[in-house]
Amino acid sequence: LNITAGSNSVINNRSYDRLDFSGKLFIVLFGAIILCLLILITDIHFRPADDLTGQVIQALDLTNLSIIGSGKPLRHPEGVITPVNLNFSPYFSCFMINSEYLILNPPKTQRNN
Amino acid sequence: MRYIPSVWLWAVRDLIRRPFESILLAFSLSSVIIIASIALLLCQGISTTAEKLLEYGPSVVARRVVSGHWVPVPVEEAVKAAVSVPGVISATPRIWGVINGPEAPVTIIGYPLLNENEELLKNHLELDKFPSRGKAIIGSGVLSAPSIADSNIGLVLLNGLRELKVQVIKVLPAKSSMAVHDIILLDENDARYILELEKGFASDLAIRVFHEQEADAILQDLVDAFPWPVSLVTKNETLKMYTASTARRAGLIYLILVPSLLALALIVAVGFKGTRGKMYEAGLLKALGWTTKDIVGFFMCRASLIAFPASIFGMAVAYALVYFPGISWPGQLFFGWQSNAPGLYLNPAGSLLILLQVAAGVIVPYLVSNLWPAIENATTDPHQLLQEEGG
Repeated sequence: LNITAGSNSVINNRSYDRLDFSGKLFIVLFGAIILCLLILITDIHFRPADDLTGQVIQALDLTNLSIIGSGKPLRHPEGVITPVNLNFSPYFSCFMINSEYLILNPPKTQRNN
Repeated sequence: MRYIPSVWLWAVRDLIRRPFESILLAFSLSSVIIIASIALLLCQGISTTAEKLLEYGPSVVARRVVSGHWVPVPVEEAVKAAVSVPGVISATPRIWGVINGPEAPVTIIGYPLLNENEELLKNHLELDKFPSRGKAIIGSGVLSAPSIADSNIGLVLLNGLRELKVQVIKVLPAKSSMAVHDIILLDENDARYILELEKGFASDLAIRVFHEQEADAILQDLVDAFPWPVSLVTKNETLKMYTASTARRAGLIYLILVPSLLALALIVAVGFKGTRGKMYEAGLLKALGWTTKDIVGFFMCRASLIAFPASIFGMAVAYALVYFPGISWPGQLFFGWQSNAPGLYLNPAGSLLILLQVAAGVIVPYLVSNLWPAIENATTDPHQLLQEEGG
């Protein structure tokens, strides 16, 4: 048993002092907070602007956003022609899968008669 | 450890004595911050996104109207009338319409577009060719998985004023879904056929002006320039509509904050009771020579060690849930979105302000709830404190 002189809580080079452990925990906690803040502020200030959607809107001369998230069920509610059945679900229930691949490469067992 | 003030070390030590209680309290504070921040950030995100994206759209849309409903515009006459107005730099006829799609209403757009726009689209939508007769390029929301698994795979039935079945040749990338989620790009003649638009006519006219600020000022000139009655919608009006829509929705979302406030009240009460219940400890510390300042500092450090990491964690999680792609449940919960949330534009100053305001709104009452009993404990006679608690 090796008890360090001057401290009755260091036994075999291992500290059993709660304040010692508290200090380490404080440093870890403080470091984590600073790191988290840095990541947050860096991401907020240096997030690249994605202008792709804007360019598409410009190219198609669109005046409204299409996504369901806009809270609008339709792009141009005032421009709907009469036979359009608006009793459909106003939302598009789509699953996020790679639909392009499935459409362009249909399973071989399926036949269009 | 000598660089760390001892009062902080004692505060950490005190928290370690009841680790589960401390973690639970921190988690509760974080949860309140997360819920409140998500609601506010989402509303702000949608508003900012609409504002940023609509900047790219035309300044004014002119639609010919007769007795309350719109009719096709004669292209040549309309373009000539529009560009004759000073300040107008371009007038583009649009062939579009909302029709019945395979699952829900869709927006069809007919080609050809202007040459410069074709290049833009080719580059940004990764198109190698434009749709010819009977072909279509569709947005990612037009067909869902069950339809794809259908036997008529690749064929889409469009039902406007006339019916047409078209072959899908490409699905537009989901990353631009804010613009093209419900769009079907068709050959001009196919679009005309479905919408019963004669050659030489268009659905409406997209007008761009030299100075955006002038758009409102030249409306009367535009009305006068067209030989028939027109309905004009400016970009500002559309933007106001989006802002109003988001604000209405935000009003409902704020109701979610009511239970959050109740939770906060509970946390404040726990904080108050917790610090008040440490009379014996405070009395002991005071009897051992701690000053009033030390004791107040100890209790405040203890509260801060829970509040600040919890608030930073809450802010980071809320931010990630709203602005990081691939996370869908906040949108489902607050807005009823049924698919992944669209990529929202970030307003750095506004977002940071919201996060800080919410965090301050949560941690300040908690800190105050700890400060008052801490001062009370620190200023009371230690003998009385030891007697009251220890009997």
